[in-house]
Amino acid sequence: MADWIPQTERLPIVERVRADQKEWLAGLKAGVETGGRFAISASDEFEEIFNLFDIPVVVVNYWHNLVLATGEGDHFAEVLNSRGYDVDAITMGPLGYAAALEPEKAPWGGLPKPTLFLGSTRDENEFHFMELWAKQLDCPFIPLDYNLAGFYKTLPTDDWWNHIRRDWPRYIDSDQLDLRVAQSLDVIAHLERETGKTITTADIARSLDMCNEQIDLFMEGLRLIGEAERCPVTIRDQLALYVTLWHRGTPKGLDYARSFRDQVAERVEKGVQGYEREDVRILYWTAMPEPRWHRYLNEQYGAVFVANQYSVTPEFYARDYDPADPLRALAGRSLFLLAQLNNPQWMLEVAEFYKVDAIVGFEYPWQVETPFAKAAKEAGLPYFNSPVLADSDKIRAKLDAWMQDEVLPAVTAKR
Amino acid sequence: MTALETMQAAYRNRDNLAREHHATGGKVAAYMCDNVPAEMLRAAGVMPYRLSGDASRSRKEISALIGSVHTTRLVGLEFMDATTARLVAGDLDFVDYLVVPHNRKQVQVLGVILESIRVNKPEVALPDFHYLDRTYVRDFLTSGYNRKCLMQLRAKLEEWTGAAISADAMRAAIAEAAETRRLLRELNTLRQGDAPRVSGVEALEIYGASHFMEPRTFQAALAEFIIEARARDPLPGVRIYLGGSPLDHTAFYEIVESAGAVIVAEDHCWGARCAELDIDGHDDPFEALAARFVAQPACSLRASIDDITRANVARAAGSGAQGAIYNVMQGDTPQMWEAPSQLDALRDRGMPCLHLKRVPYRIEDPAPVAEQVSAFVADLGEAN
Repeated sequence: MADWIPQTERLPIVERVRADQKEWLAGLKAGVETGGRFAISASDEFEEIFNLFDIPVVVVNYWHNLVLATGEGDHFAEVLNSRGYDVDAITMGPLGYAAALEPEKAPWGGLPKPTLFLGSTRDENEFHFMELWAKQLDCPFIPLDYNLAGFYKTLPTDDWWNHIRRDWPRYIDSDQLDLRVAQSLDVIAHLERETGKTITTADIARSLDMCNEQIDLFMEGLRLIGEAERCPVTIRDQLALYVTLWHRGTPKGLDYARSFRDQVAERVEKGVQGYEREDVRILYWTAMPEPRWHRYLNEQYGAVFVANQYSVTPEFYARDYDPADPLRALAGRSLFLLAQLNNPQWMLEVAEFYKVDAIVGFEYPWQVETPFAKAAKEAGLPYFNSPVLADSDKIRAKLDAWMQDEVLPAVTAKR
Repeated sequence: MTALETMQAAYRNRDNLAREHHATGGKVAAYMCDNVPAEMLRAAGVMPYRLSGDASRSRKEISALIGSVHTTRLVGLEFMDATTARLVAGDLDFVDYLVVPHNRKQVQVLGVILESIRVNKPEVALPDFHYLDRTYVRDFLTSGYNRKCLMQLRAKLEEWTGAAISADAMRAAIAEAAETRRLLRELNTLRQGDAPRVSGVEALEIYGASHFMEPRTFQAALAEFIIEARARDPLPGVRIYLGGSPLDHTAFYEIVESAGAVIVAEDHCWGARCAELDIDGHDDPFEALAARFVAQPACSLRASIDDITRANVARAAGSGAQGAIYNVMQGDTPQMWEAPSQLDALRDRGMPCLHLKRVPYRIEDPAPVAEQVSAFVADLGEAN
């Protein structure tokens, strides 16, 4: 297709999800005021089970990002720092706790008091601030041991990302898995006592089936983005839809994924490009938020982020499972959703799929060429490490040098 | 050489004994942190060697070493980076085996980094690796799992050495370690109260030396030193309780004590905690060891900040300290979350506190830290 139609409005499903989430949060507050339950949970731990109990769940990172989106990130970081902590606005996770300490400035006046905090030992920081948060609100706090950072008993040294859905048991220590299942059953028994409701194996299987279908649809949409000659959906919109994954295993989540897939297909069919200009395609190889200097890259060079790590992680939520024991598959997924060992080969496979011209990473400013930089270089892809999100003259100068000295010549040579 | 000098030499040249042992055909098993049961390593016939950083290596050099193999975000805790850099640099060529416990995530990740070194720097000789897992949560559900992890370490050691660990050898190693801890507790009594006779620097060196000397040699030296120290005059200065990050070298202690203070107790795994966690008597020594392993927290990561706070307040209150200094190292984010609750609790008890944040592992420029410490100690001195 010769003529591409720039369409920079947000994808309709993004607007719908944003409106729904706002309504959902308002409903949550109203529900709690009339005696309803709700939980605050670490991400990727237990959302499906809470959904089966009809207990609304707010994921820590999601609430953190909503607090950040108020533009008051620095203020809430200061709320914590004035109490002796030492965080900044990009420290992942704790702003929800800060908002509980000063709810009047929090989005929608803050969250109501939850019934339960479901924590994780995946990260000591989250483990600690969730406990402090629960204590502040005088709520029970249940941490689950092991999770996606606890897999080191069996180090994944192969291309696990291509096998994890079907072969997940071989990446997980069976003793850890037994323990995790036992801990999960313990929490389920707690919820059954609290709610008077019971859930069955068939309920969990149905939830996992819906989750798998949702993920398949979502990934189909993301693959359409990757396969299209021009990127039809901005990275901003792609990231804005990640929240739909907290509705895993529900008809609502399934509906969101279907709409996303259909709307991407429609844009591809119509020859829509999501950015005003697209001359250079970049993989942003990190799970960090979109940096403010992305706009500068786009306006100055027509360089666009077509994907980041969240473009490939949704597929890891899907799991093939034994119908007799779906909880084991769910527990296994919590143990190994993805590996902390961030293999450069994985980055290169994603770069190839998205047909990118260059890669931007978010690494500590090491003094040497890192394995990621080395791998990109060997693959003929200019690599730029930018561990900053803010826009500034300093970062622009570095980006200018990189674009002019490495990226543009490489793009010209390729074309 | 005096007994103290013997221990100080072992602490300052901490590789020597293990290096000699390896050179003469012995096997050396390095380990991280204080929740790997060194008794079991010794019972297996290998020499335990506790890993630590190298404070003489600059941050720039450490960054270059880690950056060359870095593939995980779990770096940045400076004492761990300094330790990891030694592996990347190939400093530890005398180590045959490496046991890494599930402790802080930034400790645990050493296993991943080893794999990354293997891939990115194949020329570096690396030890065989075992990951000693354990849960953070300690309860009825997790105890069986933790016990099994300890038995998996036993199996791995037996596989490495080709010999079974006998109950007699295990019993002997437990008894030997118990005697070391008993003596270290005696040392503690000479630091604490209102008339300390051992400085914090000396104590840190002695605790550290217990990891780098043959147990009998260390015990003899410490016993001799305790007799000498009892005869000393009390040390002058403001008595300080030290909280915060682990310190495997003396630079920070030297700054505090040169400001006119004496560190009489601390809460980190290179300090007075080395004297804790005895093993209860049991007919089966493996059962006894397992009971301790199950009861022991993963580092300071007890399941509750309240537990950590209670333990710290008890340590500080029992030490005779007149004030507390919390030293939170650059990158030590778990400690960053733990420290404020402890400081609040100590202040509530009327103990003046100084909270230092983002202190570098290698204090290249002591002035900023020294100024704050000196002012705090001077104020305390006037108040007392």
